[in-house]
Amino acid sequence: MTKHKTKDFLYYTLLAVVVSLLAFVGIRFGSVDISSMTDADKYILYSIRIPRVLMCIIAGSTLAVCGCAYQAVFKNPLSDPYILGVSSGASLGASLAIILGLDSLLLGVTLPSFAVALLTVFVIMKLSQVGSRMHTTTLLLAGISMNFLISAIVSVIMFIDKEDMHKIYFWTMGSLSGVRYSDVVTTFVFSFIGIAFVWIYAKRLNALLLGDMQATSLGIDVEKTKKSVLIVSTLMTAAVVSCTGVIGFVGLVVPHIVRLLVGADNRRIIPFSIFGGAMFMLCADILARNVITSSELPIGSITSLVGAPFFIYLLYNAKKKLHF
Amino acid sequence: MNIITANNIHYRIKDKEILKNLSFAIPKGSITSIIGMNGSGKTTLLKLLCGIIKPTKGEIAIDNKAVKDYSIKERSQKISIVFQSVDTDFDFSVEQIVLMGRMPYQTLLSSDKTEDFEICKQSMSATGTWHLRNRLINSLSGGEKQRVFIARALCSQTDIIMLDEPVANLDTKHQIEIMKLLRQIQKENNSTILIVLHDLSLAKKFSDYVLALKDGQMRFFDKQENVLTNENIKSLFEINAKIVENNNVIIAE
Ligand SMILES: Nc1ncnc2c1ncn2[C@@H]1O[C@H](COP(=O)(O)OP(=O)(O)O)[C@@H](O)[C@H]1O
Ligand SMILES: [Mg+2]
Repeated sequence: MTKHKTKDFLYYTLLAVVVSLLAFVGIRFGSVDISSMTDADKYILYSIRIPRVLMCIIAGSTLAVCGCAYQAVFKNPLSDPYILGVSSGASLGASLAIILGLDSLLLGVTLPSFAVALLTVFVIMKLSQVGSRMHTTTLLLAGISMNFLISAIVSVIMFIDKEDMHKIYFWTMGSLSGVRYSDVVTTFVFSFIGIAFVWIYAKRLNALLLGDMQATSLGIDVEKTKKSVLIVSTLMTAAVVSCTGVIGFVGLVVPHIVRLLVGADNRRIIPFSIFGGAMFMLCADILARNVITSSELPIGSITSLVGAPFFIYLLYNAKKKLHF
Repeated sequence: MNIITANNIHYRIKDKEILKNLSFAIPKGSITSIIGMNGSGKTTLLKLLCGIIKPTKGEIAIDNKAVKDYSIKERSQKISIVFQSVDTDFDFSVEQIVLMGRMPYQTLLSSDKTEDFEICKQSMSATGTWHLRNRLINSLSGGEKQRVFIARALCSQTDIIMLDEPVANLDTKHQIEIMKLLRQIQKENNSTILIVLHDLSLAKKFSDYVLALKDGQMRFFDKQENVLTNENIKSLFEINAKIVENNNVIIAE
């Protein structure tokens, strides 16, 4: 809304400063002290830490915005690509690409990842469209069953192809180690376009939240809007997952906190979530690399350690409201 | 002049005939109540008239142009709708909800202009919701909520406003308040209002025309005083009723 614009711009500047500071911390600190700037330190700085921190920012922002988009399309504050199994779908696509040897091709991992993710979202849509309104329980059960199915398939793949097991394992856990500049660039392109697209649709997403008929009566082509936003955000999710593996709960935690702070208007939630997502991921990454000195924790486990209790809390609140 | 005309419309889902053979013409600047028992097809009729669903047979025209020839956007500039209940898990403020009424006139990229805020403010003042503007929609009482959604409809500045059981969950005082508000809107803007009502005394007091449905068929469509008679009500609802003429109250016996 207009009256917020000047104030919001100030907040964005402030948040950008915080993100930069966290990025600096992320680059400066890690298992190896790089303060003496030897050649080895320089290598670590330029080839490992900087791309990693950049990926952190991109992945965090993207996953957070995808969360907003999913929540609006499914009209449910508990949905996000991870909960609904779409992230796992993307990782399954990536695993399949690996065992089929497609990973050397350009987008050879991203495209299969996108295809399976899209298939997952399609099934979720069908499953939860029983009746006119989508109930939280139906939606979550659909997500849980897709997650079960996909992890079963992934186990079978790992069992069959023991050679690539560690690579596939990586996709199910989420990790930012080994991120290259080329990954950063590809993901950035997908995410930039995707986030811009979802942001442009923000006002329509607001109307969708009042119900399909209400949105139609406001002049919105509901089916078209839902489909395009869902496809675009699934594509973004797949682009991120095919580089970082499954990192859970970012899309759930970040928009939720943002919503508490700025209200329900997606035109404000989306920009704030871009910063929030980046901050959340940077913090998780700093923790993942510095909590134990001997090695690195998978970043996905850190976000889940924060996200899962948060999810349980939200579920508890939803239950209180619905008395089911 | 007639603003809505329906010519022999049918609507069926699979093998179920939900509306049969409806023809009527609604004059501009009037209030028409749609009455009938649960499941008689009232909501379906509203959806057809505003183009959310398409008739399986027959023609509906708004301002002499077939509904199917309007784009979704054009349609939203002609008709606004207040639904039976709008519940959302998301905490929009009252002002945000009313401002959404400007969406029919905005493009994907345009933001709310001063003019939009101005119209939003007027609609809220007219419906007595201005003081609620910063409240969250889910924190309002049923009557307040309904007035906010009427404000949203007003904010769309459409010639036609359709309301599906807008007073169903309200007490008598608030029911009358809403009906008075609608009459006032109709007078001030020469709006055409279609409203689904269950309370026949409200229909009698506040409408110019009454359209009565039974089992998907139109049983009556005429001036209020010609439709709401003892015999007609008896045949429509299978109850005995008595109309006390001087204060227009209908009592079921
Ligand atoms: N999508 C649908 N599928 C099947 N039957 C429907 C559908 N929508 C409405 N109906 C049926 O059409 C009839 C009229 O419904 P409706 O227009 O909602 O009635 P009212 O609003 O008068 O209570 C009912 O018998 C209802 O069961
Ligand atoms: Mg109804």
